[in-house]
Amino acid sequence: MLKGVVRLILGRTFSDRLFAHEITRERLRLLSKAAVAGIVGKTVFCHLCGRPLARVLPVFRRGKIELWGMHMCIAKVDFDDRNTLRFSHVLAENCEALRRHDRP
Amino acid sequence: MIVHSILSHHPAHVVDAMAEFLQALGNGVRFCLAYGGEQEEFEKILFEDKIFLADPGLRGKIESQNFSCWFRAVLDWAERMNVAAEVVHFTECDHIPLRPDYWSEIKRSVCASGKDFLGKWCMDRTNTNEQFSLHYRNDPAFLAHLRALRPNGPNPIWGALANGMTFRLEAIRALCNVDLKLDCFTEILIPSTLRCLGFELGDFDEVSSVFARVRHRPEFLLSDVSDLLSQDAWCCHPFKNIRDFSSLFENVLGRRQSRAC
Repeated sequence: MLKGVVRLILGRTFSDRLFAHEITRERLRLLSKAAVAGIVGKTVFCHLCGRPLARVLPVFRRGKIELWGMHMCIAKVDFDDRNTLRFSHVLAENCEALRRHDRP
Repeated sequence: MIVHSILSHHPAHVVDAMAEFLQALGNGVRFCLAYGGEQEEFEKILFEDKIFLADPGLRGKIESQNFSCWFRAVLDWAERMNVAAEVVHFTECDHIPLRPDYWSEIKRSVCASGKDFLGKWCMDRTNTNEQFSLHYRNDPAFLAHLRALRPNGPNPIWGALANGMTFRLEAIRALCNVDLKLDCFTEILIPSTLRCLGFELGDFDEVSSVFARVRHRPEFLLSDVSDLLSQDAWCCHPFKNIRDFSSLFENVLGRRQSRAC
């Protein structure tokens, strides 16, 4: 029963062979950053299809800008203008603008 | 003709059951089994179109698995057997076709796209946060490999899921002429090499829904299969529970027969 509840919430159980080996300190660190971004972050959208990519929180750290929560999706980044970064989906599976087969 | 090669490490009786299922479902398709398990188990397999892969590149950690020996062995097999392959399709043993027209859709996708290679999640990974491209963009051996292929041009890092890689014959021939003995993950090495050789690459999801039910996780269970069949899914991946294979094959073939009636 407990396994069923966990599967319902996470879409998987911790005993799934494909998932169990991935519970590492690094992954937990990433997940906690994504959790913080989920609460206080903002949503970034794909500039191709306009759909949400991820909730992210920009953090200035050691001369870099970290985007907490960005690892929750696979995204491409480039400069939109001299001050602005724009993000887009990488995979056609997630982006209507990249798919051709399901257009009317 | 489409050649479909399946990479397996399962016990011989499971492999034979899968081969029987695929031959019943994919009438007219030429199948080739590539076996990466133990040699003794390989000898027990009754299916005739089989090749044994002893290369250590297939074994070990997933991040350093190199399937190039598989592609080369299948091409050698096709030439040895005089198989007139136009399209060569590679899947792992946990990838289950669910419809008899799966292979014609694969071939249609390749023709409709006009590409030399199609794969799931096949994209230019340069300037993305995809984990393997981030790793290999700083790998000296991999970058030297790309520079050797195209000394002056840009060498973008492409990637695609290893399961489901589909080549036109010219592309796989050219690929097998390159030295691919490199400690590099197949999902980055093969697409990036093909791109540097000048071939056009595309994503299955751009042109077809054939790979819509292919994912990393969670694995598909037998209880999911009736839903997949009612939704007319083309295939599913990963389906890992070999104890459920016989029930799965019965379900899929049974549905095919009921449709035919």
